[in-house]
Amino acid sequence: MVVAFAAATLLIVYGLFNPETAPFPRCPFLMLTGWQCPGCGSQRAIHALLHADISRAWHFNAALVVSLPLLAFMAVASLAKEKHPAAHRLLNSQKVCLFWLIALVAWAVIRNF
Amino acid sequence: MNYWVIIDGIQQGPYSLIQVREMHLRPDTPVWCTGMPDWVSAAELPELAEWLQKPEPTSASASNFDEQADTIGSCEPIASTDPMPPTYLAWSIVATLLCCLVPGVIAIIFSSKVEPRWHKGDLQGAKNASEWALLWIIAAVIFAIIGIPLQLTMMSF
Repeated sequence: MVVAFAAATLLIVYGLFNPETAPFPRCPFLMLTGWQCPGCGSQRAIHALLHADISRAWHFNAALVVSLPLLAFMAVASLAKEKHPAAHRLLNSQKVCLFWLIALVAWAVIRNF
Repeated sequence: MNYWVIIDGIQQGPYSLIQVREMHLRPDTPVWCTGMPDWVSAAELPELAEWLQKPEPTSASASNFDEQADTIGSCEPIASTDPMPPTYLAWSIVATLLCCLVPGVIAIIFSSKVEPRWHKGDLQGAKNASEWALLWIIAAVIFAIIGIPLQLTMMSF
């Protein structure tokens, strides 16, 4: 309930304001190291997605655009875990977790080139 | 309790115990149910023993089944074990992508430890990993809640 309310509030904020011009927080990792972390650009990407501009969202953070449908699928699998226990188990297995880990770290390396 | 079987190389399931019994499996059919470390042949599960196809319809083979039933565990006691603790993998990914690289990655590492520990029967270890993953996700949220207003005040000067 609290999470849903917070998420709805944030979606409205990110829909109304453009993070490129409005005073939004910046990534401390980027400020400290000069490297982009896997989440850098997510604020601008969400703003673009809320304005149905997928190519701009892709430009700001491609990993976020790819992950959102997968995360939605995981949420559905989690709700249906009684009905499809094997699918839920596979999505939460060690291999899938490590795949995400490697993918996110790889994304962090690739995007800094 | 859900059962899976491999017939002609094809995995089928989930089935309830009653369904599996009515399939009249061969004694060497691989069977697996939630919580078991690996596939076992149907003959190793006492709860199926009376419902299997008998290779030779003699009293000798029937007594064979009885002996095996005493020595090898069944699915039924494991049926009472708790379900797998949540891995919070999706939340760990959200934490990494929306906020915090370091706590997010640590949370994913703990998420990855839940399923193998639970699979091995280490329920306590799985619960610990699950709680640690949640803890690091909360750490990421707290970091964001504290960090964002702090940064905004600094930026306004």
